[in-house]
Amino acid sequence: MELMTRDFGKVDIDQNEVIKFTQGLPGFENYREYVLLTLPGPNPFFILQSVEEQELAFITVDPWEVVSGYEVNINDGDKSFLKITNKEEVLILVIGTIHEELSDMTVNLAAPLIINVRAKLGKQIILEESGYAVRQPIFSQEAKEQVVK
Amino acid sequence: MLVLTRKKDEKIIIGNDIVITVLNIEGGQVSLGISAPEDVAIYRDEIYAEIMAENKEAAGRKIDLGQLSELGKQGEKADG
Repeated sequence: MELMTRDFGKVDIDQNEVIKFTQGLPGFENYREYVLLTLPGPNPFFILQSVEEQELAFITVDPWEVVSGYEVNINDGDKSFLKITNKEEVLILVIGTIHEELSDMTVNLAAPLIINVRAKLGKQIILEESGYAVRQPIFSQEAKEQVVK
Repeated sequence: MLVLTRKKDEKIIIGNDIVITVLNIEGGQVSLGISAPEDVAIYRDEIYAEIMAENKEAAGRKIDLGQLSELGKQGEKADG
């Protein structure tokens, strides 16, 4: 099907690429279907684009490509909710926030996106007790080193 | 808003399957035990509000894919 996207214009996506976030994301509870769009080349960034709203999209990134020492524990309730049976089917991404310009991007390590790529189910979980930052800088060496709890 | 008064070890039942137990009350703090189905998300209000605000900020604007792509490549290099 054809999808109008915020950053890529019109793209052709397959219905089975759609990931269902059945609870939405905090602040966007009513938008529940997204696709992950890749950027050219080897690149840790993805765009999480809403299927329902063209203007709703997030920069997401593989956290282990941009920070070190990050750990995510998915509790049993969420594993069951996302129908996770083994870790190979789990994709974990974090959302990036741009403040003034791209290079000052921070990532939200406190609330990663957990995606079951097999079942096409996703949820933004909140790591309440982790002490991870909601705004972790990623584009400087010092920033990377600060991440460990 | 419904207001209920509960003592330590007393419970509140919401619907058929959510039970909130007052576990402890001490010095202006209340510990609550919550049992609910796994598809019910439970968070402290202020943390949920913080994530909500950050998501709204993150969803803010169209991005320059070319520039993001370049930054991504630089990141890869930095990691060796």
